Amino acid sequence: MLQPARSVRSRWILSLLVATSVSLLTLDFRGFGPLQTVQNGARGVAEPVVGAVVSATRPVRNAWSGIADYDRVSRENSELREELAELRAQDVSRDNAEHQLDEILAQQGIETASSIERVLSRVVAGPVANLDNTLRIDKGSDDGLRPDMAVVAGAGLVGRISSVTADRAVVELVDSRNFNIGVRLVGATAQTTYLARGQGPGRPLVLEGEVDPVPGLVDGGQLVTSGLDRSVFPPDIPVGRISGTGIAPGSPPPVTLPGTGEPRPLEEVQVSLLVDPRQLSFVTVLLWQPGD
Amino acid sequence: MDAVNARAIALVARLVAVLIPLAIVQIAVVSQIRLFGAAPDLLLALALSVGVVGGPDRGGRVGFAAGLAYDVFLTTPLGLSALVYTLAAYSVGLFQLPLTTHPRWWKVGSVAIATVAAVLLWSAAGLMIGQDQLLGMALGRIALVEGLANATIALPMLRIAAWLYTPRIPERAIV
Repeated sequence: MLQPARSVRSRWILSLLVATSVSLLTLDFRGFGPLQTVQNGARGVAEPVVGAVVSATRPVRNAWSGIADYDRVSRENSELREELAELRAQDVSRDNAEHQLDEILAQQGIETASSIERVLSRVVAGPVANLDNTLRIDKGSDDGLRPDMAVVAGAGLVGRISSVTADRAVVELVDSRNFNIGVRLVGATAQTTYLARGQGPGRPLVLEGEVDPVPGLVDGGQLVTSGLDRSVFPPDIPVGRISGTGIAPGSPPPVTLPGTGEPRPLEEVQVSLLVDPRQLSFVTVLLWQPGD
Repeated sequence: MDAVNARAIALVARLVAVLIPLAIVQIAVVSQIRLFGAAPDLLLALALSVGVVGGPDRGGRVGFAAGLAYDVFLTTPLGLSALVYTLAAYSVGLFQLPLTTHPRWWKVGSVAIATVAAVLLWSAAGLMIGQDQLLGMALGRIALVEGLANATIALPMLRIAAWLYTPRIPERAIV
């Protein structure tokens, strides 16, 4: 049992440490400049070292991933081979159509995602804690990156820049809980826009609220960023495909409201991401901010 | 007093020499190697190990330093890990039985159970300060897996903790 004096001293030490931690939290919340400067400085010093260690240990981590994720990777490989074969058949006509569209829009002075200046970055680290859902990339403010810039990979949206140092940036992933994106349904006859919300790592997004089953809102329907006024993302970045509606392309909605025969609004419409943000080696940052 | 100051400086030097490489290895290597969606936490394991072998005061101090070192790299508010690691390492030190030696299974079990509690405490504290993204994570599974993962590295961490604080020297002589 502790002596009384030692017990008092022990509680005093604990109180001091807890008070210091709470003070740091308070200062961080208030955006205390010197504290953020110190934190950024410490990150700036440490992250190149971290990057070097990441590069040196990549074979070890890849070997571990190969062992731990073998079944999933093997299954995914087969699915991707089939999908690639289908896509190759559509490549030529799609590229031609995109090129013509970009030319037309550029002539009209309308900006598209493909016309935005971009920076290619290597992913140097995935989530650095078990309760973290971010990536670290090897570009920073010296390369033009700023907070809230969109991050994409070949197939679609990955996330947005959450913090930046001179030569590193942290990307918040699109499937983070409460990550909100304004999206638009591709090919819909009306200009239908929704709010897609993240539900947590590895889980599909969900369209906010009840969704009217308009034509095109079917399983497999594609969603892109809406780019509406004050949106943090530029327009037309692919986001994902609709899933879980139970409505196949060309089929009517399965459930109608009694009496009226009108289709019942859909709930919990899920959006499967086009990109698995945790399997990326390279990403592209769009140097675009709202108001640009 | 000179001898006390020299020991204090040597202790701080040992602590820095351990914490900085551990933080880098945790961020660069260990956090990228996951099983069932979770990885060990070297810094938390070290802080808890110091609590187990050195008592609550030492555990609290090392927990604070280790948590702060981790907070620098995280996007969550600075001070969150420092607060939780302090409380966890202090608490695990309080709950050690007043024996001169502990059986190995007791020490490893203490680290594992305290890890689970620390992860849940970290999540609760994070939610209280508005980190809603935690709601989308499988907190129970992550806490359990991290607890088991830390149990596997507990023995080397306990050795490092013992090296940091030589038990024969009374704590009063060590700042």
